Amino acid sequence: MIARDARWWARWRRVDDAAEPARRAGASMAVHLHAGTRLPAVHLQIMLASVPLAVMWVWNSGYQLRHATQGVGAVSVPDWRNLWLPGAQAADWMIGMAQFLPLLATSLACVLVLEMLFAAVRRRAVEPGWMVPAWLFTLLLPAGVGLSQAMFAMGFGLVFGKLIFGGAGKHLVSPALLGGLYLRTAHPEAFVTAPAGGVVSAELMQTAWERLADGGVAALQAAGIGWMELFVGQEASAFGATSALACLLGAAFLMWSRAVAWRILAGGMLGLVAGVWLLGMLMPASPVLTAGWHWHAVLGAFAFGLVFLAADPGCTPLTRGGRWFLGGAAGALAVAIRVLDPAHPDGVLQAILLAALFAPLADHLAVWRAARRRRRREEAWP
Amino acid sequence: MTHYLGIIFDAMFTGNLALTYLLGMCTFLAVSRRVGTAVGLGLAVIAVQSLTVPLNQLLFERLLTPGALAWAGLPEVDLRFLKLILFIGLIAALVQVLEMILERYVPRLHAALGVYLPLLTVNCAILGASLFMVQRDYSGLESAAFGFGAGAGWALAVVGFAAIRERLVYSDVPAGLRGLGLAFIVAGLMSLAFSGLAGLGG
Repeated sequence: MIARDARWWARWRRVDDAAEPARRAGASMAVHLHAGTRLPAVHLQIMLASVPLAVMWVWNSGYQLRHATQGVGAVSVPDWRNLWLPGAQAADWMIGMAQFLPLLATSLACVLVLEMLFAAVRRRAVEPGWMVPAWLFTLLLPAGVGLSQAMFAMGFGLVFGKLIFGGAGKHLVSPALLGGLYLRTAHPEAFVTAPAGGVVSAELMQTAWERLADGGVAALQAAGIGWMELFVGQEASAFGATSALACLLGAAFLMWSRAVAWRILAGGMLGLVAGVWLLGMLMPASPVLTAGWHWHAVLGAFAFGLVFLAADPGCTPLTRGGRWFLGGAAGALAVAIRVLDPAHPDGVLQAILLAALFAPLADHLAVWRAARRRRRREEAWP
Repeated sequence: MTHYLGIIFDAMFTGNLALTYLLGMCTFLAVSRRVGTAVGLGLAVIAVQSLTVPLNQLLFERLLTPGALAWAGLPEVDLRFLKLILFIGLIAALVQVLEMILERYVPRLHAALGVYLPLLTVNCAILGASLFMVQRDYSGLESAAFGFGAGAGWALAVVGFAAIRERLVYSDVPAGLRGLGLAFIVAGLMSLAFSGLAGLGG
């Protein structure tokens, strides 16, 4: 018994000790980090920046579920998690919490077990920022996702997005994004028409994206969703990812603390505007394009994807050109997938993955161009 | 015009030979360690595809389809079963010519591509494009557009893949996964990303 306790204690020490040198030296973990300064600090900043999103997740999912259930005449969701709740405004928070906490706990447990497993087998320390993928992944989930679904998706994202590459700064794309994409591919139904135990009307829980794809902005406004509602994040979708306002706050903080590369965010907005403008000329009849770029920027998970997934400091492109490319391609592709493929769930995650996988090529070209420029300058110099 | 651009776009993105159909994987994995070589290979594939698909289409239409030999007094002959042999023969001949040209004018690229250049003869992406051409009933111009698009899509995939593999040199990969193992996983991730584009085509 004692031996077993000692083993677990040693495992936990490995998690805790990992943060220690960084805590003392401050900059020792920064070797592979491409943006920002110190790895633990950057991870903490990302967690802080996304706190408004978590607040929105909790409140919004409760709000949406309560309203959807009232729409079919039920007082509250007949589910063991909230049978005891009063049907008042305050219940929004409690309903949301009851949805959020189990998902967060599952993701965190999954990540911790996998990180410790890899650390033990590979004889390396667990990274101080191990919580961040689980946290961001949970924000990306719609309420009502099964815990096992969340666990498998998180495990896939973490192992194939981060652990096999050797951790932060060495991987290609945000593990939270890969987890979300796994869930999207394996269980697409979780992302359209947010489920809630099958008791609420599907029509009321339709995501803003589905409404827009069906009937343009008019359909959104008919459902009582204006630009302001989308900006604040009062829409049924991946609940933590809907609030552009919270993302804006987070982005401002992250840029101020220089944890993310601002060129990715600026490039993303430019790509979005350019994509809407260009596709608007090619396909003027599309219902999706009745919404201008300011609608697309606040719809669905776009803002969240840009700030927290595309600009993940663990895999930022190394060159300025690469950063502009990553943001611009992600923004333009997100619009392109929305306009050309309205039958499927919102394609922001695929757009970011595609842009991130071609970012090394953009880096390569930027380096090649810089080298050529320097060579020419040196040749011109007598 | 839009029609042909649509065919090129579909062949490059929604039906990318390497990442949607997973064709030509042997060359894709083998000649993607360096971006420079991958660019050369990509250009070779574009050249071969743009030539073989329309030429194969011409041969198929003029010699193999039922009734094609009516001018020789054989209107009821149907030689479509010969298409594999004919396509491979034409591809082999073209690759030979390409190899001679490269050896004469770009010997460095010729050496870098090594055995994989003659292997383009039996590359399934190249034969696959010609077979898709038959399956989708493309006309002469359509097959030229499709051949170019298919080659360009494959080239784009292999160059992007090579850039990723160059960066992965700096990663800390478990010993058992180094090299081809990780390459397979990254190719899978790229394929997952391209699956998002699968709904874009008409």
